[in-house]
Amino acid sequence: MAADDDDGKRDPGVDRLRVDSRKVDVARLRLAAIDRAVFAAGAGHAAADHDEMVRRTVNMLFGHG
Amino acid sequence: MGEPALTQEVTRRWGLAALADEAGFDRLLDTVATSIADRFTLKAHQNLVARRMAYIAWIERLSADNLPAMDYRAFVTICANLIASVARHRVVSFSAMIRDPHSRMIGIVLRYPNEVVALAAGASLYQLRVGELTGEEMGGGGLPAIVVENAAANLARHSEAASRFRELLQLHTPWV
Repeated sequence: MAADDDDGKRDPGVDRLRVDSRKVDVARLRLAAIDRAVFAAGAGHAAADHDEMVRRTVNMLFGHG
Repeated sequence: MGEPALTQEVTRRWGLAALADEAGFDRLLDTVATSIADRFTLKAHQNLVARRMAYIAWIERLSADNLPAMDYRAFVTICANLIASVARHRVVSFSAMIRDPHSRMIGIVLRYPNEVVALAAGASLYQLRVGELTGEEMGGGGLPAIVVENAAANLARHSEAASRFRELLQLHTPWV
């Protein structure tokens, strides 16, 4: 699969869309904190919550119970 | 001598924080789109502007959200944020290489490409992280077929909701 557009050229519009580096830093810290909190206890702990995770995620997207 | 090696080992491991970087985000979407294309014998196409817009939306949501308690609920929230960020931008489209007329799932993937990618991306966060924890091989970096099939099946089961979501997407990007 092509990583760039189909003709292999990089769309110049991409570079005009700026990302705030401070927000990236905040996002990185939050992701790392969640990673530690949820997965540090081990895969068994995470697996126990898996069904709940899937159910809530689908609910948030589709609003189904 | 052992400590630097240990540090290198720790920093090499994949974690959720990798998705704060655009390269990590792009790699995840590449992996998901490729896995879907492989599973259903499709060709995947990406719109790079839309992909960057999805990344920006992902970062904005992450940095702005007041997360619930720092437990699985926070993880659920970021999965939902990733799904919403990807699904609202037309990052991926698929074209059929060989169309099986009896395959309902292929029809769903062709009709709702971004929604399928978004759901599979959300599910893959858990899959990739647990795979890292357990040392499970991902088979060349792709997602297990069950993750991809489940994403398509969710849309097939909730077709009305998927259509409503598509309407919202069209309102959000009316120029496409």
